[in-house]
Amino acid sequence: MSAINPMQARNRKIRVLMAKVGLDGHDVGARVVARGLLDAGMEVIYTGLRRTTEETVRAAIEEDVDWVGVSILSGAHRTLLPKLRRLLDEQGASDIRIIAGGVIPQEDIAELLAGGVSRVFLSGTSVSEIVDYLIAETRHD
Amino acid sequence: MNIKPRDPFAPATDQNGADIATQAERWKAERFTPQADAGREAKSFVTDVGIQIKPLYTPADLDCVGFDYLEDLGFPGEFPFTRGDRAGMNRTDPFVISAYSGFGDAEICNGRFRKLIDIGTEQILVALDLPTQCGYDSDHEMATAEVGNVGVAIDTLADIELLFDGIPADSIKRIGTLGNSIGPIVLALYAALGERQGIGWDRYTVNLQNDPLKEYIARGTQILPPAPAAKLAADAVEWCAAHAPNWSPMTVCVNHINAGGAGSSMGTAIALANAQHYIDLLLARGLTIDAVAPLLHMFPDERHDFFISVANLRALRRIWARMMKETYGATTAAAMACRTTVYGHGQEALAEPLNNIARTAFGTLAYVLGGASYVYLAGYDEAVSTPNEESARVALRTLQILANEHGFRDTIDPLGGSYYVETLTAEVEQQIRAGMAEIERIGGALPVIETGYGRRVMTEGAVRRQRAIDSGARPWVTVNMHPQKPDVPNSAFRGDKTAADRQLARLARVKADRDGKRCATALAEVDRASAEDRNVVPAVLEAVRAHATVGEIVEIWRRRFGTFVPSTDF
Amino acid sequence: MQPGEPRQIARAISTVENQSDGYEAILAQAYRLPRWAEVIGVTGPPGVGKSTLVDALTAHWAQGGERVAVLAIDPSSPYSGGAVLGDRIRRVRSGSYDNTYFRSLSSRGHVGGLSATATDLVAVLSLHRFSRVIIETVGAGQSDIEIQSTADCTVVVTVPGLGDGVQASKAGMMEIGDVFAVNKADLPGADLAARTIENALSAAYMGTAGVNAGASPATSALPSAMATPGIAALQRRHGDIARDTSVWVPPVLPVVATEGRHIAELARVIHQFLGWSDSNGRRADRSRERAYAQILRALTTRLLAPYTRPAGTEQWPETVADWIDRVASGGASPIEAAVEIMTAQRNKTAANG
Repeated sequence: MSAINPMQARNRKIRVLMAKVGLDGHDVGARVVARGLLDAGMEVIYTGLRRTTEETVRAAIEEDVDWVGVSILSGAHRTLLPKLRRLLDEQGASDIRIIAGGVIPQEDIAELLAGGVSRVFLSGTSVSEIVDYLIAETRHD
Repeated sequence: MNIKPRDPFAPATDQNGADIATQAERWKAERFTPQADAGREAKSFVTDVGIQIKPLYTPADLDCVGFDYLEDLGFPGEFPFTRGDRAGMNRTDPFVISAYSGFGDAEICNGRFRKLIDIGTEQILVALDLPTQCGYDSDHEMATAEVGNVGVAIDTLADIELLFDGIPADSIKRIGTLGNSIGPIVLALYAALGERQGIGWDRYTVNLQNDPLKEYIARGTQILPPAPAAKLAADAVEWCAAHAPNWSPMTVCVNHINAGGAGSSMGTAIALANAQHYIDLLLARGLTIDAVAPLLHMFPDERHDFFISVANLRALRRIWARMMKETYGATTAAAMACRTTVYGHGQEALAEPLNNIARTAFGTLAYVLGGASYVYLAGYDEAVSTPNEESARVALRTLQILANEHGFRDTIDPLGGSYYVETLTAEVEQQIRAGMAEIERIGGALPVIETGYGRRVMTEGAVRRQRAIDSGARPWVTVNMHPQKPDVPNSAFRGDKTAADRQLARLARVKADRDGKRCATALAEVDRASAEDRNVVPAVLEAVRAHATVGEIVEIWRRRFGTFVPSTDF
Repeated sequence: MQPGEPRQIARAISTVENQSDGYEAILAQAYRLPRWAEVIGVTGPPGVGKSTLVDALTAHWAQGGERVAVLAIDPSSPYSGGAVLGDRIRRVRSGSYDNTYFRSLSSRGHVGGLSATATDLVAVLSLHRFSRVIIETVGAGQSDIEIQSTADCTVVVTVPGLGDGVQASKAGMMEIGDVFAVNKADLPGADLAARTIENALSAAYMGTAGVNAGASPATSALPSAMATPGIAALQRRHGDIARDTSVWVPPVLPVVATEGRHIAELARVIHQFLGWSDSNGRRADRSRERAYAQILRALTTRLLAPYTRPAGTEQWPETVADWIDRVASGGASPIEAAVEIMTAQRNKTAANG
């Protein structure tokens, strides 16, 4: 069998881990985005509330996701997101990329982007904007 | 107005005997529909709860919903309390101007409280930071980067004392906090505060949210599994029934459930099921409904549609009254009158935050016209941070304007009798009752959590809302109409590093200075009371007096009752 | 696990699941293992606490030092093909063990309660030295039928109050369980739920829970002709007391997965079943069933490849394009079309030499 391998494209799914780190328990945004990604044909792994960065990294690696989406509304992003990036890199998972969503001040966005977060989506971003970004930016190896 | 009980099969007629329903149809066909058909209706007119709004309401609509003045409305302060839970309502007994505030540590927060009281705040509900709400001390690993962020850090009685330094507990109408998952602890802290300030429990009023069940589906500070959490919440109410019957130890919340996507009608149904769960626990302990019901408040919420909001408050009071009387056999007005706390919101946006002042004012006006008893108003910057001093002042001033200018509280239930509002009140009541019936079918409040039902309802609703915004079906100025770039100020949720350091130092000092033996003995008694299924409040009160920390007490419960793991439903 | 190992395992699983470059080589190696991980299937209707039970069992075996992997399967959306996979929320106890691995899988349109590559993934996990793989099925009831041939031991989970067990028997759950667990056994009605299942089982089995000696003079006289198709299926898996020397009667165990109560007991019964089915060749029978199903699947995929429309395309494959309109407009039957298409394909292959 060499001529046809229709499976190549067919079975590749974009996988996204939706994570809540820290103590913030508001996950409406995360749930709405997850539903949007589902509707766009992606596989979304949801790990629930109050996960540590260590647990999140382990989940991302075990699930072999393309993206970790982190929703933060309590202001802990400046501490938690760089830590998440560092731990992923340490475990040889620098190809797993991070997007962040929530309420994040302008001056922090540059800092987060410099610290290895690929993109920041502020609260109120339309779901289709996030979907389009992920489809365009996922590496298909 | 000439409304009296009607034969539901007789058509509505005006004084000339003309058939109003027929006339209304004629008017619509001849006058209105041509306008609508010309494409001049700007949107769909479907409310967030799914009720379709008609272009015009007439007495014929009241007939449709079987409106009966004496049965459905009655009079303020009388069954079924639709027009008000109190006789004089805002005319004699105005809503209480309230502030929800807290940030950093007790020391810095105390200054804000004094300013708020200076400018006229009548009740302060303390916003706690997430570690405190989730039962972690400020020095716990899980508290990293969260101390003092979204509220004030409270670890021990020393913090509460400092928080109310120079603010006697009886100097304002009510003090309190949310403390949904740590109800008995915050109750004990406020009881001990009175002791330290030398003020008897009968001389001040404490209000708690203490409603753990909604946390599991809506707000996310849950700690224990739902059943023991509800038991501990009921302990706080039972203790108040015996020792502080004028306190309000439980406020059953719609707001977070609605905000999370359920919609105000389904949110109200879920909240009422939660209330029934708590009430049933308390009645099983031998308390009477007449003793229990007055200790509970409801916290309704509708932030999308003004008139649905008015209707929701009125329908809620009617349902509560009938539920208390018919299901539980309540005999007193105090037990049948639903007292409501509200928190004024609109669709607040990140872009151009000052616009949120207008939004929250309109949202709050609906609550005032609907007859709420205790009224808070969101700061215009609340979507991005704990309100700063200016936005807290503006919120308070807006409440004072609503209370005193424009004549909003000159007469009782000013929208009562409106064809529109009465029709909506009946329709909203129907929606809530349908929701309650569905919840009863799946087994009540706990299965709503355990089966994932509540989360599913909320996710569906949240997705529906998002689609309405993304498609433009629900106009939102600066978001999907005249869109502007969101502007999150650099001050957003900035934890105050010095506050966190001060908090950690104070916690270390309290732990070093306290009588270790007394504290250990008290904590052991908390464990025994929990194990033996006794009311934990007396033991917790002694523990907080001994400067046991919030985290130490919660840890006992974690070991004793386990922790909650949510259903896998998304 | 060694540093970097979870990453390697995860990548290998993706490669096989996506059938991307190199997957055939991985499978060729994995299927040459003399012995696979023991596969424990956990199935049951929605809401019975499957994920929590899987977590508790994982922690139990991991605590004993075993390498344990979990494949948790959730349904995919029939419209978008996407999925929200939430079973990981319940990874609470087992998450603290380094010698565990957890993977959430979408069924990706596959019907039968598993994903199409589930068995392949068991092979991959065996290659990565896992001694035990727990598979949590979709949990849609009746359709979760595949687990019985995939797993070496299938645990059917139920809870008190599920329509007195009627639902379980209606959903075909009675026929696939080697062991039954009544979860949330601290709730009222747990005894009733257990008794209901035991009653249903007693219609098909004689003997007491666990291993029974069979085929004595006393039992050999019993008629075995009463077997319904369901009972016959059970007898193939668990033995027929009228003919076999040893018979397994599925035990019904109460557990409280959230608190880890009676989990050791459940694990012991699972071991007992595995030992029994190993000793009398029934586990080998099951492996053969599994192998047959896998061969059939591989054949199907390959034989149909020339005729399969690639996902996301509107284009009819060249091989069948001519026949679409003819069949749709009443010019031929699908069977006639198939015969002609296969003949044409055969000739083409022959011509290409």
